Amino acid sequence: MTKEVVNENESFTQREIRKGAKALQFATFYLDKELFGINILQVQEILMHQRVTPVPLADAFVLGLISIRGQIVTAVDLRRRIGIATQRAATKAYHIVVKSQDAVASLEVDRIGEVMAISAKDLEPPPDTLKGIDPRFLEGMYPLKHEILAVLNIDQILAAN
Amino acid sequence: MNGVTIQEILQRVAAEAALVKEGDLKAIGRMVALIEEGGGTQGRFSPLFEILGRLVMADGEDAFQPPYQQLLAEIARLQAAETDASSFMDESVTPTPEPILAAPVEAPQTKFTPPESISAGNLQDTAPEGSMDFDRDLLLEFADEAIGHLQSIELDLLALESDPDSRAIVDRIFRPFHTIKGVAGFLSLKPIHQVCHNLENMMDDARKGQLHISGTVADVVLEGVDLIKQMILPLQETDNPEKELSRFQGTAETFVNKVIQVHQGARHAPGESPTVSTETATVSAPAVPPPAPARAEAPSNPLPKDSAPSNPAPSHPAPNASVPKAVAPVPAPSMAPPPARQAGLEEDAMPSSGSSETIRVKTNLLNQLMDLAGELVLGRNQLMQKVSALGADGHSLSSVVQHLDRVTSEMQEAVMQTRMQPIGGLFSRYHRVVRDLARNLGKDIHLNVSGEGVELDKSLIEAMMDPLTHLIRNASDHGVEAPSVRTAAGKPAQGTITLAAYQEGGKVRVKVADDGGGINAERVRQKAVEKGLITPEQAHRMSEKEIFHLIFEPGFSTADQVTGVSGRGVGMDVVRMNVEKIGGVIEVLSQPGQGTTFHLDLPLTLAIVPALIVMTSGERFAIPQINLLELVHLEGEEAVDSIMRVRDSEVFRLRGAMLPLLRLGNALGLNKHSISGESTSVYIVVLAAGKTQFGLMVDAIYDTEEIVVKPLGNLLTHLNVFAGATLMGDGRPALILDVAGLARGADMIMEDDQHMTTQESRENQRAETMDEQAVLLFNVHPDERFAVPLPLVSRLEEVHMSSIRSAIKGKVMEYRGKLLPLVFLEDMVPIQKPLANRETAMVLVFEIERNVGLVVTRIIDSIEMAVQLDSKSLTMQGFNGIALVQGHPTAFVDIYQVVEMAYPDWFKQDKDARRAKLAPQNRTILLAEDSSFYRTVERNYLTQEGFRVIDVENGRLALDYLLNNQGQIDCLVTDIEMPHMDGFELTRRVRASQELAGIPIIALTSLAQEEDKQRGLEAGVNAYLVKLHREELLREVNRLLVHRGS
Repeated sequence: MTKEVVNENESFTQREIRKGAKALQFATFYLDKELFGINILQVQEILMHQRVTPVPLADAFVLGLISIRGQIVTAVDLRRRIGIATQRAATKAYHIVVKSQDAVASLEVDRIGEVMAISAKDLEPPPDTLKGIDPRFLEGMYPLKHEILAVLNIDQILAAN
Repeated sequence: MNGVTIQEILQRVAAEAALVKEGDLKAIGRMVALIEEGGGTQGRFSPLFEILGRLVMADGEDAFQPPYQQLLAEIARLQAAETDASSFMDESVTPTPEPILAAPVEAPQTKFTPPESISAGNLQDTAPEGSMDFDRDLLLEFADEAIGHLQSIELDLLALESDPDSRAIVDRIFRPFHTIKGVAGFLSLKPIHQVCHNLENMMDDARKGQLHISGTVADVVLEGVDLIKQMILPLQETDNPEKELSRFQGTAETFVNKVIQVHQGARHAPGESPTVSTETATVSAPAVPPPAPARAEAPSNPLPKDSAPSNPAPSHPAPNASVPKAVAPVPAPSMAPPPARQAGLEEDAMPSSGSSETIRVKTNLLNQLMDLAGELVLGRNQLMQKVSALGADGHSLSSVVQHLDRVTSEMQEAVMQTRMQPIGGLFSRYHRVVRDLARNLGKDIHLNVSGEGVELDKSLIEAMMDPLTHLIRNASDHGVEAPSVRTAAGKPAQGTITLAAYQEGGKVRVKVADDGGGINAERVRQKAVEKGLITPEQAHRMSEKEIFHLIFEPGFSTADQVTGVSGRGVGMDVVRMNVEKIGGVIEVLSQPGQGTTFHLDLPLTLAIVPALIVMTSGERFAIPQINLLELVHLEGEEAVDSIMRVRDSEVFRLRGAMLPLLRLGNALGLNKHSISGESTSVYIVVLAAGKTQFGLMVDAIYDTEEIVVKPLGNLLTHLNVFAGATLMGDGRPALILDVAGLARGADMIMEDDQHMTTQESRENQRAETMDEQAVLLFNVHPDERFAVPLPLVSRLEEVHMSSIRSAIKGKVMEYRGKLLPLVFLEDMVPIQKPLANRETAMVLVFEIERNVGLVVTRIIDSIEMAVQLDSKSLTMQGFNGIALVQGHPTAFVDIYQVVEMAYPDWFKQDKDARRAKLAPQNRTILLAEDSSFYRTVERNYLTQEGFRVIDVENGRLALDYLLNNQGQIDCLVTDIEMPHMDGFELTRRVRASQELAGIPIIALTSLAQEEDKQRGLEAGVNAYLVKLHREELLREVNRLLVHRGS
């Protein structure tokens, strides 16, 4: 019943690790050729292309509103939100619906990857620069054989500026 | 087997029984489990068990009541039997360790300590992890129920004050304490139990007529109610009720002492041995300590927080594994003796029988239902589209789909209804507030509540709580005067605060009114200047209404009035903000010496609102209907003509009023280019946000729909032009416009570009929209149009030309058995003659000195419009002027002049008499009238008589003129409804001024209502006349001037 004290600087996954999580699972996806991951516990669902109602005067990274079974959710252009300048895919996008402590939003991505299980101790803190992403939007990274998995900090991405 | 006594089992069953409702199978199940645990369903418990079976089977209220009564009776019987059996143990129950029973007996004065150590001991050999496994649901239910009971106690106590001898009310106050005590005892909520117990004792004496509830007794009961509430509220959020309650132990004990003192002090019949008899009346279960005198018992009940180890174990599936040890020895058990208890129980059942028609549902669940209903609507819409696409093939489906359609709509409606609650629940709490405030302030105030049944969305009712509390406090503190002041002012010593709700269209209006001294406008004015909210210049020019509205400004407070309760103006800005936040509007009216009234207009619900769907730049937007005034569609030239550019902003003309215009596409940054040049068709939605009105130009207007309002995510909440989002019939989201947010942008534009304050522009708009007259349009020749003010026309008659006869002085016709003199307009003024072939004509009957008929050819229309009368282009005798009506130049006939031209002798005598008394050319009249039409007509009346006339457009200008030109005005003729300063206030101010006080004042109104007339006369008006009646006006002006001159 007691409300958990949330350390503002602690990301969702860091909190999980502190609470004793040993294995982590990430839903992965691509923006252009870059690989990203989101802690699977923060993923509500993944949807195919959605029709978006634009919201005038909103921040540029807000695509608009989509409806998910009666729930109205803000759709976010993830590229613009985290500040990377890769090409937008020509194919129809996917929407990953994610939730933070107090918000739900949908992130538009190019391609869905696999779910990756990683041992908690292998998750490395994010470097200062990774793929040109604003570091506050990262909660960690995990080097794979040929690429680097950049793990996104959903709480930050969904927080109002 | 646990060591459980029959007493405990009965106590717990009784507690469950007190709360059980029809269909509450869980509670019945708990009772069954208790009985099974306590010794099985055979033997002494078998009747009880059987009754429980009947309860389970009971289908419906009627079937439930009889077995329920039986259940209560049976429990009482068992308790009584157990009491008689005293220390008997049922063989089927595991022998209880002696101390549980013995301890209280051994130490009747000290109460809890021994039992508690025993329970702790017990714990170890029985079920340690279950011991504190209190039933959370039960606790929540108890808290809920208890709060309801407490509320009813408050109301009943207040009722008792007006009906002090009512046994029924005393009973009603007694019972809830009794119930709460019982359950609190069962749940080990000891301080609550103690407090209730002592209050119950006191109330019991009151029931027996040994004590009178008034003054201090009522106070202490109310105080107790508050204390119990304080203790109960935290329970809803805690895992450890005992720990939570331990904080209150000291307070509870102090209070209990106070109760006992008050109790004993209040008792009459000193011969009786007070305490004992009281105790035995309510508490006489011998298994428990012999009734200690309440005084000794209660305060000495220590409430150790570790009376049972507090390890909130995960809840057990059934309560039977977890008889709370701490419960066992309650010193004054709630299972009370037959008479009192039984009566109590039976009557306790009454409220629950009433409330069993309702059940508690979690708000979340309702919200979810609402969402699902919305989904269902979408599904239905899609299905309907598909079916209609099938054409003839889908024919067999269509009736099914129609049925689904209807059911879905009804369901949506019903789900919406679930969120609606009567506002009475909120209103009822103010009885207590007003009573307490009145007592504290030494005033006598009656709260008059009406409209409790008006229903509002739950969230709105919650949102109204703070503003209403504030207004009620203000009314009590600053509104209603002290009794001595009231009596001195000739008012009843008791003040009245009225709290009323009523539904009006799609809105709910709430009124908070007091009959106190009213707001001191002068003081507000001074304060506003001191605080720098307005300049002295502005202050001077502001009307009372505008002044009153200053109390809602942030930072305004008439600090010298602040008391412990409230300060008029303190937080009024917050009140306004809270009301506006939920889409409401607040207004204040005040009359010196008569009181202050606040009007709050609220939407019915926040969750589902009717809204107009519009489109701009290909996107749909919803506009809440509460903001909607009207829709305007302009085509072609009309569009070009009505829309004007004032510097960088646009305004459009609506019936003579100029409204600022906002293009939605531009406001939302969707299209930067202006479309006025290309577009031949323009849609304007006229909107109001508070007092601001403006036009919103959109590309298209669709239907109005009931929309479900959903909040925007936190990435979007900073956009204050949107109030939320909703799902449209096709399943796509659409944004809901926040009209106030849009207006704030529009207002900025108005201020910057027109150098006009919003207040002034609003006033001007209002002035122009109010400048409307009902006029009758007619012709004589088809090419010329004429008009007269409709109020002057008393009847219309169609006549055959053949029925018009000639008489000595002119034409006449028979009308209602008399001869009606007729006037042919074309004979009096040089206009085109009627076509030769007319067989019938219309006669407009006027009452001008006597009945007279104006013969014309055809009635074209009767309309309400703002007439911009041009009196300079048409100065011909017989006309007031000319105006553009429905696109045609239309001459306004001065019917007095026309009739006078036809029958001069009707007027001559009066006119000569007036002239004989007074030479009008030496007199100057100030005419204050905001409507240009009336101003023109009445100026004509007066100048034709020979007076000099100065005309002004509102009360403020009139006052300015009078003050600057002292001694030059002989008479003031004023309209009542005017912007900036109305006629009443103008009159009051003139009368209040030393230099002007003697001026005769005539008030003119379009509708003479007795109430207004009275107000006018009170303000100091000499005469109160209906507009447009020339002869009366001239007579009255003459009379007053002659009177003054002499």
